[in-house]
Amino acid sequence: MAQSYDPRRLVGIRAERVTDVSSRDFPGHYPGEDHSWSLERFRENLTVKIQRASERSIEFDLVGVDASIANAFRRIMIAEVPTICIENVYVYNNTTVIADEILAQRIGLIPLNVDPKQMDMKLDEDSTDRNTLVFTLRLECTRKPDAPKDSTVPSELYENYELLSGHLTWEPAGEQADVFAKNPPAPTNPNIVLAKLRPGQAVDITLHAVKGVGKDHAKFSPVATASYRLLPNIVIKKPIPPHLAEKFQKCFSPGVIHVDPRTKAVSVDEKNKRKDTVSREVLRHPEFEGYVELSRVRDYFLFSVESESAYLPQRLFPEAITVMRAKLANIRRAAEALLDQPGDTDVVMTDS
Amino acid sequence: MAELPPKVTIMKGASPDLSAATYQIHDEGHTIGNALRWMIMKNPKVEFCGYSAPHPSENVIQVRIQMYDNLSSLSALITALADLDKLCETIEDAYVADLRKKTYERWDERA
Repeated sequence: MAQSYDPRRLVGIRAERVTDVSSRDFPGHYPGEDHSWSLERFRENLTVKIQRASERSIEFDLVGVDASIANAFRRIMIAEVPTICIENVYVYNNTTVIADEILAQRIGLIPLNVDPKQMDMKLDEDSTDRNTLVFTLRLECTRKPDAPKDSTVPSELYENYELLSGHLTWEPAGEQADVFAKNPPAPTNPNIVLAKLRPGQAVDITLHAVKGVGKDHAKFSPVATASYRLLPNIVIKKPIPPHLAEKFQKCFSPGVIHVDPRTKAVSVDEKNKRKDTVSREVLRHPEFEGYVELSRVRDYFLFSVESESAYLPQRLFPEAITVMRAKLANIRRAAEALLDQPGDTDVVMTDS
Repeated sequence: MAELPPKVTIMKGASPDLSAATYQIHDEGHTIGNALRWMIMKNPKVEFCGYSAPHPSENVIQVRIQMYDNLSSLSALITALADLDKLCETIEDAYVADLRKKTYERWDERA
């Protein structure tokens, strides 16, 4: 039996437009109905279900929240969950063909394996062992003495012909040797090519890594992507004629529509309907007019998060919630401070 | 470092009893703005709530709140902030609980 949703939860998808995009669950919108905030009701309607996870990504469903909330978490995962990245590059020598500033930009983008919990935000000019990690990068390309004469392959001809992220060496300072003993700071991937060298070319660079957030620079973003989409909903209004069953099936992503091999009866695969891309192909064919209705469920978010940092993918969402709560607490403190001021509001007014 | 501006200020033109006021929140954007607006609008005593990020060069948002019955918009704002925090806590608990169940599919993804 196909699952049906309250029509109010659906965003209609027509051939050339979408309908009922905005939520209307506010007090006063529907006469005689109570839509005021209730934590109990929210808790009852909320479903969080983790669907699949790998060591690099996670997919989960967040059901029963407003788009503004889901979007806040998505935005925070991209721009406000802190990570550690190389921020300062001091070039003592660089005779490669890559200009200093280009090389510095490339080095900044290297994801590091440092858990941001272990470091503080660098708030002023003072670098300490709590807020800065130092790396060095030294490499010189030389000719291999025993290279085959007629070879043109760099790996046979030269030593150190590629500057890799794996060449970063961490220089512990202060208490860092103890703090990071279990997991010495290094790039998450040692095989990123930063520059190519030829005999006689060399680099000698010192690097400072600090804690930062994605809104300052995208290199600090802990995710490759953090996105959500709404659950597609397909309702077959009347039975599809058996001779059109396969054509109907092909209008959707593989696995979404089930056709009974014997009776050619068409049904929506409830487990797989999330795989549909909502291409609306089915709405282009006049023979299916009136047979099917497409929609999406407005409060059913299918999150997909790919970690590209020291965070395990399943940790990113709780980290985003922690950041959100810190922001809320901060604003609340400031707002409560306004309460204590005397009734005369002149004191707090600003000109802007 | 330069002195930070106050996190929240009440803008000029607010009614004396604060039943209608615009709050300027420093160093916040649509992330907080839209979520906060939604939660304030969930309050039946709120006549109107809207927010804007006036200009990209100003790192602020402005939240306008108008109340019924001359109630204080400031307490509506504080209530909404507290409710949002509870909401976050509820979602986090649900997420962690489901993660612990380990009912999700594990798969191998190559770097």
